[in-house]
Amino acid sequence: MFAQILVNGLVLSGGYALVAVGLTLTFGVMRMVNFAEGQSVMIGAFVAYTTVPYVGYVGAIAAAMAVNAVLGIILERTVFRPFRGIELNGLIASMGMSIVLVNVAELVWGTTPRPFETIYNETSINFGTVGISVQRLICVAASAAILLGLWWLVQYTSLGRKFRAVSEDHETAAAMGIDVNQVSRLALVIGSMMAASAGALTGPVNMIAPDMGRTEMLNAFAAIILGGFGNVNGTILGALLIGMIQSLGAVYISNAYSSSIGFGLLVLTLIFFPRGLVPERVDENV
Amino acid sequence: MSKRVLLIAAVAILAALPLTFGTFWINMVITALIFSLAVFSINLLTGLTGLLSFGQAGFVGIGAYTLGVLAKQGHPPILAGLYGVLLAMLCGFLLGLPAARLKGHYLAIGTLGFGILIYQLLTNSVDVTRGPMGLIGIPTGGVDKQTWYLIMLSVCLAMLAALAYIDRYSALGVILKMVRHDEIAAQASGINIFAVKLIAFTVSAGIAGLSGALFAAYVRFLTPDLFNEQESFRYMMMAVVGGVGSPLGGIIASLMLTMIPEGLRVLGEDNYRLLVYGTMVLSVLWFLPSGIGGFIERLRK
Repeated sequence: MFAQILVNGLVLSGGYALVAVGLTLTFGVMRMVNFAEGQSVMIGAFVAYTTVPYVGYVGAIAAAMAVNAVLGIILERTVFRPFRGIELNGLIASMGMSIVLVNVAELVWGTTPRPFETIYNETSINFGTVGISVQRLICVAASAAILLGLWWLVQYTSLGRKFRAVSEDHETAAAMGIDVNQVSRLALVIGSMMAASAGALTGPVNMIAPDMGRTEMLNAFAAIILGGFGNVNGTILGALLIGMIQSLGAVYISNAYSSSIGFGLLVLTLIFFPRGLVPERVDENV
Repeated sequence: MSKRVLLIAAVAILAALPLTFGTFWINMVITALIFSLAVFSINLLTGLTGLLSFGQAGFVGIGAYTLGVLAKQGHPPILAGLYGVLLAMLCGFLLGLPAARLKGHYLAIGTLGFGILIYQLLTNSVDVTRGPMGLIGIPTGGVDKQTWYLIMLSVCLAMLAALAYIDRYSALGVILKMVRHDEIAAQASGINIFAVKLIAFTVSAGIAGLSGALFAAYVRFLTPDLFNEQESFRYMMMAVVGGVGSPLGGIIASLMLTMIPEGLRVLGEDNYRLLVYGTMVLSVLWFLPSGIGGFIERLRK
């Protein structure tokens, strides 16, 4: 029982963390919230679902990430670059784009939720008395690996330094010769690819449907608020917290309310910690 | 003088127009005008005070369900609607207590969280709201569509006039705009920012609640899905497409974003309609960054 709750919680957390870290990275670099991130998860899941019979599961994840990289470039050009400095418009434009993406997906794949079968769903490994499917274990391991990879990228590569520089201060970074447009585009591409991996990894565990992006994104937001906007480590912590509490809540409280647990937690956090559990540093100008 | 004549003529034309419409279109116009009240509530909050809310549909839902539930228990609909508005204002006040201390994105996501909690509450308290089965047959019939149109037209015009008055002539308008432009300067001038934001939240929630009550009375059928976060996003889109600072733009945007996609129902598939909707939002933002309201301002100059 305990092992099951733990693994389910980690599966949820891993998915939320991938989406939330992608969101928080693009937010840090562009200072805009990407409301279409949930749709990137959905597109990723469906691309993986469509390609898996031809290229196998690993190939399908790669295909999903490749398609979403292109989607990231499109998003940056159409939804974010035109509105740099007018945050609200960028936010609304990403909502408009997310409506477009959902409806295109419904036209292509239909509205009914469908199972995403992989060979790893049927095999399971026994831990004591409970069996846990290999798919879930892959989910947890792959999310952890991707998050670790991102951490390395942000901390130790020159691209990571550029991300951090632009997050810190747009204008100074530009003055130092950093191509802010290029950095923004790369942040969105990486964010989109992480969303794609979340879709391709957690899709087989749940059902996939064109409106799946909604809950994915809302939970990611909850994780981001818990962790503090723009703070990658805090966001991962937030995602772990929400995934675990939801997994516990689904067993011990009630399934109907388990989706509101994240938001109850979010509202409570905002009441007591208006800047999140791990606050971002903000200088108030007088 | 001639300006006043023009205004009276415009109102007369607007009042007479529905006589020429078929049932389908007059229905659309009435619904769009009801939505535009929720858009006003955003104009007040975001346009005047600079506060973001992605939970307006929550207040709309509170207003709608209060009227629906009470009217079905036999209370007179007008009284039930009044209770709905008051309850929405109370919730706005309570949300304002923590929300007035939040900034920017935290406020946006916090209000989004509030909206989702209200939606979950409406869905899960089946004893009161009947949950996803929906509240059917709210006893507010007997008013024909022409009368409804005139009621909505006058409510919207009154709201436009009130917002324009607050914006241009009242001390409150000056205070709200000061808070929006520079909080620290406003504070230095002796304005209690917390109180101002709290008032803005309360009044805005009341207007959204009114929109909900009118919706419930007109449509007479409610399900929680009518008040989920997608609806909050839709109100926000209408407000931004209209130009957040422009209530008139807000009305035009809600008419446009309700009627043009509905007119395209002939295309058959629902998805095409929503595709047009999303594309319209994007194109207005690309070509008119300050929304329809900004475009009108430019024409005037």
